[in-house]
Amino acid sequence: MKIFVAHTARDRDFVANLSGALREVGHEVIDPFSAVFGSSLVSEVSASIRSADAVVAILTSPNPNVFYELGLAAGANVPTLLAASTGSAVPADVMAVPFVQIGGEVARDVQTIVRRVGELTRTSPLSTATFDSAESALQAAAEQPAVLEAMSPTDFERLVMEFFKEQGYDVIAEAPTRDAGVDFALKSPSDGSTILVEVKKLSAQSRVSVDTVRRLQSAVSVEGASFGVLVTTSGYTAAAVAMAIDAPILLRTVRDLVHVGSNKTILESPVPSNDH
Amino acid sequence: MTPIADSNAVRDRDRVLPQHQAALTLLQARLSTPGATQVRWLDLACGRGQILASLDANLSYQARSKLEYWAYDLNSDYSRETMRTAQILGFASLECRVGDLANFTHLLPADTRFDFITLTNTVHEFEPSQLAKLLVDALSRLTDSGTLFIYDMERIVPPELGAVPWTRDEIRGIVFCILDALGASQYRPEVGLWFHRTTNGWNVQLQREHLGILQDAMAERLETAVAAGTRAIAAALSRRLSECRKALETLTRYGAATAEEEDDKQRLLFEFWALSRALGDEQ
Repeated sequence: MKIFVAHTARDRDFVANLSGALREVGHEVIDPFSAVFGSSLVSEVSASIRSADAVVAILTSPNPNVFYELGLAAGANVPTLLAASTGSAVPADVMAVPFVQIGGEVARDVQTIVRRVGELTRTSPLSTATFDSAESALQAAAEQPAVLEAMSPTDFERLVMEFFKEQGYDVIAEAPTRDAGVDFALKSPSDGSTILVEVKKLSAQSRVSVDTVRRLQSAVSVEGASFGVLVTTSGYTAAAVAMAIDAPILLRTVRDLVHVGSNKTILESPVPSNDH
Repeated sequence: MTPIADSNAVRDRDRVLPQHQAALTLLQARLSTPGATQVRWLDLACGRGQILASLDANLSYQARSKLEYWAYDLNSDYSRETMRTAQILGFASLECRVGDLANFTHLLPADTRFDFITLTNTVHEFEPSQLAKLLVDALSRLTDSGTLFIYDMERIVPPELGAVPWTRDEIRGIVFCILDALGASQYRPEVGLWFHRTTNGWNVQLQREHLGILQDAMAERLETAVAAGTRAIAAALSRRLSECRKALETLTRYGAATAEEEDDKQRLLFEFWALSRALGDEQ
């Protein structure tokens, strides 16, 4: 099983022991403190939780990040095991969730958690449906937030790249990509100009900020590209939308892409419509 | 260069910063070259000598004894601290200079050239109008096989009042512009991007031998290169200021909608001041 362990920095040593024991019995462990998540930490943590078979939450102190991750697990219907030390406050909302009391004897606590994790079973696994095109995958992602949320930012970025390929755009092989501080670059089929694309996979509640637009605008200028496109799973703040006005930046959501995907001129407008 | 009060030089004996590790790895290779008996190293903006923090473990005594170490910093207290650290490392020789980084070349003996020059975590503190001169002066002070190693952050966290951090792409543009003006347009050194927990860093190493020009020819082109680099820097600053102003204008009008955008607002305000200050009357 894939186990996500939510914990604070203070419990690192305990979690290192726990992770070792879980791996020994064949589980895959995701530890947010040791995983290399890249720049979209929040999104990757969210995707990791949603795609996990179980979450173990170590509640030795009232840490907001751990509670947030616990909330994500609840929202995604991921089986969860709470491990709290004696006297730790367990929120009333999760009092009925499977629970282990940590007594302070590490080896015994670890073995107890490992045994209880084995009892957890995923009740409604996420759909593993495959799609025959990036457009249909994006369409499903736009209609079923759970599909989108379980996708890692890298997978989502690849999907968007494939989508543009299907729409007739060339992904430049020697793309500036990271060189330009963006995810990838396209060549316009109409005039061969370079279009920089930045993909932001965020939770549905999030909004892309004004500084993200500014950074893309800066990359467009430094690289001499004709314009930049921001694609997000969520939406944009009012300031971000205003920042894109009269700038060589297009703001797009997943829904925008799939609704006008059949229209090959989707990215040809030099001035964004900004109707988000 | 004017000091930035918010900036603090790091001094932690138990910590080797990755950028220092990178620089010392290059130095290690140079010291390991068969026949190398002496390596002259200029540590520009040496701060409190953090790069030397674990040098007794990083390099053998034999290797350290080949090093002629030159420390240079604006802050005399920092320089003294660096010298105290350096004195027990068994270097072949030690020199220290205190002065404005913009004038470093005037405070060093005119005929002294260096095999290795390091400039780490400092570019953001440097006045942009003098940055091109600093880079060109450093290049002109390299031996024929010398290396200039530069490392800095794309964003300072927390922001420092007056600091102008550069992105990897901007630095690449500035460096290439200077190389073009020096007549070394065939040389396109890699400018690397490095992810850290709170920010990104960039680095570049410039090899004197790849410039493909003699020292005399270089001397003739110094002014042209400084002028070209300064123009590129001014253009980048103007563009950034314009984008920064627009971003602040939108935040003024619509407010910060997320905590991330609230952070953006603070950072943009710092940047706006730093860019306005750097551009001065040119605005």
